[in-house]
Amino acid sequence: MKTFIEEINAYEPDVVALSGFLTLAFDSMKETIEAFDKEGMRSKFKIMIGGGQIDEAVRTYTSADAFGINAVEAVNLCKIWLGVKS
Amino acid sequence: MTNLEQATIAKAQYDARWQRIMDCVALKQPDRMPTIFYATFWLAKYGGITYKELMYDYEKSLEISKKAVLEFEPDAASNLVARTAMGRSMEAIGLKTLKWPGHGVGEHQPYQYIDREYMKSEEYEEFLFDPSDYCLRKFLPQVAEAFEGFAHLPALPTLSGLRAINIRAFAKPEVRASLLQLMAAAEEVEQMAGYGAKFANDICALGYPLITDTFAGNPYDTIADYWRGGISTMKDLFRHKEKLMASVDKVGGYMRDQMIATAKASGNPIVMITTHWHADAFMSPKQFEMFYWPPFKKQLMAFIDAGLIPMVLWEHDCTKRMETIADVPAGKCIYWFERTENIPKAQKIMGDTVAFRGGVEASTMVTGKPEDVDLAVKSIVEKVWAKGGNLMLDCGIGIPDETPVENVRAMFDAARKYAG
Ligand code: B12
Repeated sequence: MKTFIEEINAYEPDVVALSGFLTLAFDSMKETIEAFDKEGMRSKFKIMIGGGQIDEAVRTYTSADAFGINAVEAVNLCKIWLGVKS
Repeated sequence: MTNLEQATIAKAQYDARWQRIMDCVALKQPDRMPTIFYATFWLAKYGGITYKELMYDYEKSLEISKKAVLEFEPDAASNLVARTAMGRSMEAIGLKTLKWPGHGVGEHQPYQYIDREYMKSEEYEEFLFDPSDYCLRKFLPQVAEAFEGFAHLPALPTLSGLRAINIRAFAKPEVRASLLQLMAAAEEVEQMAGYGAKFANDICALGYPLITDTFAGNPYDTIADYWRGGISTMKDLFRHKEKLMASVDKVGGYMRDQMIATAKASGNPIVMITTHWHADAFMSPKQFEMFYWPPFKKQLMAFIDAGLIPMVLWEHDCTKRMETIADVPAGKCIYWFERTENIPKAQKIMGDTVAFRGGVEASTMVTGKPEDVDLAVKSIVEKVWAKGGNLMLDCGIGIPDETPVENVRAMFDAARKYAG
């Protein structure tokens, strides 16, 4: 979590993407996003999550902005968020 | 009640439960939707111990597993002990390709497989020339310490000859150490298997059958998971097509015979088969039809011809695979879908061909409330069971490790509330 926050502060991205393959990742994604909230940085970027066990229920649980089912969706989400025309 | 009366009741319950499973396989809906219980590290949560303890303490693993079966009263259970209490065996063999609780990862963390290119692409030829030799002297020494000494052996066909004394390699300290370690490890595995057998016998005496006693892989994934690694195999689909196909075929031959023998010896006809790199996300429909399905179907047909019942766990999203995988004889297979949303679709396409297992998404079990789980069961009952589907209720692949205990109760209660 600390690394995420440090890197985000250094890089100032428009989008932060979290990937997790196991149900084990649900809580760490949730906690990571809560930590962004606490640091007051949550509104500075969009958050997407993904991985084999991620669906809408997990998106709600973690309060990420979106989830994607593959790499192409990740790109499409970025395009939408950044207003890039395809 | 006398012991005899108790045994008679348990026998009747056992028979009724097993018959429900067999009815589903034969595509005749039984009196109620059967439930199946399978869990791994969730049992540690349930029993209030660490994942590591569950893996290392045979007695505790046995006790907790039996307690779970008695509480949830499923129609069949997995061999919970044999599938969890593997810590001592893996340590004894010096397994190098997996981290497990208390051994590479925390005592309360699940497995971490180390996916590597254990067989290099240049080595395909060597493997195809003599799979057993390649396996013994090159592959296995990378997998576990107990096999390391085998790298010092000569090629086995050179050991024969007039006096058969070309065996000096067996005096090498590395080879001796391997042989000794292997024998000791095998004793530990025997011990573990003994506890697995005890679990099976104990629940049988209480009226509960094991759903399966044989775990099999499948040809393509064996190469992809354990030999070449996931990413390399995906590249091989383009760069080494022929060698990949030949290797999958080769390994499939060994697996078929071995698995049929194992399943027959166990007395339980159901063979559990996992699938990994077949999914929509990992290969195109064309690649699936060319590389994955033909050797797999050959395996399924061999099992069916041997009187066995393949139970395929279709992991990940298989939406684009449906039409192809429906091509099996009717009433012979169980298809377990990890993705709940795959089941209603499969019901339409192959509801008259295979029985189903699954029904509750891992995300619902882990992040939902008991009401959400209840609704999820209600929904799958409406979409599949009520439409004549031969569904056996379970989660995507057993109870996810992090599931709150009350959600598991809700799942088993809901099965009885909505489906007999
Ligand atoms: C292949 C596989 C294996 C292989 C090797 C895996 C490896 N390379 O490390 C082997 C055979 C070793 C294996 C073993 C086991 N496995 Co396994 N395995 C799988 C499988 C089929 C694919 C996992 C994988 O490597 N995927 C590759 C990645 C790239 O794919 P992906 O996660 O789907 O990601 C795609 C999208 O989701 C998306 N995406 C990913 N991240 C992101 C991020 C963003 C922002 C976006 C937009 C999109 C996105 O893009 C990717 C490309 O399309 C999954 C099934 C599944 N549903 O995921 C089970 C699965 C991971 N395994 C599972 C289990 C239980 C096991 C075992 C414990 C079984 C056992 N009891 O022994 C062991 C040990 C596992 C371990 N932790 O090491 C469970 C994990 C359950 C859980 N807790 O979540 C799964 C989920 C199957 C299941 N439904 O239960 N497994």
